[in-house]
Amino acid sequence: MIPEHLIPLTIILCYLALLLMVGTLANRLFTGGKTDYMLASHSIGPFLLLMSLFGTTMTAFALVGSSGESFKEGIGVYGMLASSSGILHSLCFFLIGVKIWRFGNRYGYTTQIEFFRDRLESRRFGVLLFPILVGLVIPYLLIGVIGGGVVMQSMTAGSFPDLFPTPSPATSGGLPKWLGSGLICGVVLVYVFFGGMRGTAWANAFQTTIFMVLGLVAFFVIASKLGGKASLYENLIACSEALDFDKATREGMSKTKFLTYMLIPLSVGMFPHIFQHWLTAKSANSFKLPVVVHPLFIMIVWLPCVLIGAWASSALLVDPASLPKIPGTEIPNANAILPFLVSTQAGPVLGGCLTAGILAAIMSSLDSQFLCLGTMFTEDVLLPVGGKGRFSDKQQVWAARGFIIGIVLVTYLIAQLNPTSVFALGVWCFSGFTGLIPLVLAALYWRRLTKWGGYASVLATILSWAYLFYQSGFGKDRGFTVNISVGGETYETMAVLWVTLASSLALVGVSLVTRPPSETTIRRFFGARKAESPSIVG
Amino acid sequence: MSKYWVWGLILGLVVLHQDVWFWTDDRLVFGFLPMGLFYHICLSIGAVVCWFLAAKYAWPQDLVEHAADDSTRE
Repeated sequence: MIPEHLIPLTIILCYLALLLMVGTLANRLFTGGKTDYMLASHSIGPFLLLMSLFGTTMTAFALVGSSGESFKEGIGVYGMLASSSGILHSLCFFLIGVKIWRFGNRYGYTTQIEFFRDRLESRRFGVLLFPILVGLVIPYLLIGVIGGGVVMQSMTAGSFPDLFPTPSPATSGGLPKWLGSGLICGVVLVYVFFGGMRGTAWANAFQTTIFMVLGLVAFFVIASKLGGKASLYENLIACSEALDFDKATREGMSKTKFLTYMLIPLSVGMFPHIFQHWLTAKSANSFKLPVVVHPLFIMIVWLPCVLIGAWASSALLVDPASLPKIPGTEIPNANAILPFLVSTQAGPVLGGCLTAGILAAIMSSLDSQFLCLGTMFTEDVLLPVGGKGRFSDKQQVWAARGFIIGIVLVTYLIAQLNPTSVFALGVWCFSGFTGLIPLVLAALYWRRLTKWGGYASVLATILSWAYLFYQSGFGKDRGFTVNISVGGETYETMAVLWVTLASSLALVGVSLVTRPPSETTIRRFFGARKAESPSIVG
Repeated sequence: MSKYWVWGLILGLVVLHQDVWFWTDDRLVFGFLPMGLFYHICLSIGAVVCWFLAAKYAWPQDLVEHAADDSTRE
């Protein structure tokens, strides 16, 4: 019999072991080639593509952050982040993903930079784009690694009170952060190292199932108890009737901020790890299922979390004094709301299961990011510098594996410096990727895009981004907005709007005054003039 | 159904997303879903329907032709 205080840890370890099994099983199908390692030999069908795309786009924020944001802002968070993503993620898959898959399949691309080099007729374009893409992915990686360590520590608190004591009772006896994040990095490294893209896709499918199912179970258990009534439905009514007006509506939310926040989900269209997943598809038809079902999956994950977060803000349901606080303050720790409700309303078994679910959400993004960075270093740095013919297929696989080990190690070591300010960078990373969206859209749909237009767009993105980031105190001002005054009224807008505008204007303006791309490139990407598809709808 | 209709519907979703009309409506639908949340759930379901229509009626025809070409070559 397992002692009660060790139940969460046991469940987490069992989950990690299962994950290792799934990931390494994929290694049995590994053919040893580069295309198999990086793109699973373009063999991913509709279901696996749906699960891997969804698992990769949903981070721990989908479970923990959504309930935390709803606790602070109310139910408006669903519209701001979830329903907009449902519409726009699928738009990116449809408009960008399918076309990229076609070119990748036809011309053998593995990374974004390979595509842009050809489309913009510039061998050096990668020198500009590569550090920007890597610079935007790394904070995103760090959030996952640090977040995983924090979740492990708080959810295993009490497991080893003598071995790992801390001043705070909320974490005392839990696995220390260095050990928790080390375990996560280790497990992800093993299945990415051995299984490559196939291992990643299988593990993602498994993890996506886990966090969707466990999120729903946690909701039903909490919702059945929180209102203090007999049935689930009575409890749902009691909980929502107890909501404060500002949490049941969007009274305190700026309408223009809500509008401009809608640009953030477009960032998915320029994530390098999503790009790589698109190229794994078996056929263009494999995209149909993800395009259609993605909004439904987002709803299944976000709706319960948003409701729970809003309910927890009601003093009639949860005593504010009992809420977990940010260390050294009396401010409730919004990100600890979901784990707190699970531990107070459900018990150690569900607590362990929910932790596994949160880790699943974290790892299903980490694996793709690690693999993608390894691939980018091999394809965009090693091969152009070393020469394409110099390395055999096998050597390239081992180079990618070597880079992946290096990236995991570096990320883990930076995470140990505990740069907590990295959490403020989340929305800034997304804003940077959204700023690059005009570039990929123009590359696919506007034949007049020129090399210099591409350079101008990337430079405008990074310069406007850096200026606004500086204005926000390097992300310290978490609610930073660009305020516009018109007719005595002040309108709050998200920085992403201005970054995207700058990028678009630079792209169009410079393209129109510079030499158009060659006829060969136009034919390569748009077909012959008379036979071309005239619009974005193909 | 024309592909232009489908794209019109998706554009409609984007416009409908800015529901200033339910901004401060605190009615509870089915007794437990705040109106603003219920509306956006409907929008999520609307997105599924629109993307289903897009996959059915607006799927790029040239891709289907390319797939056929590729399989013939193989």
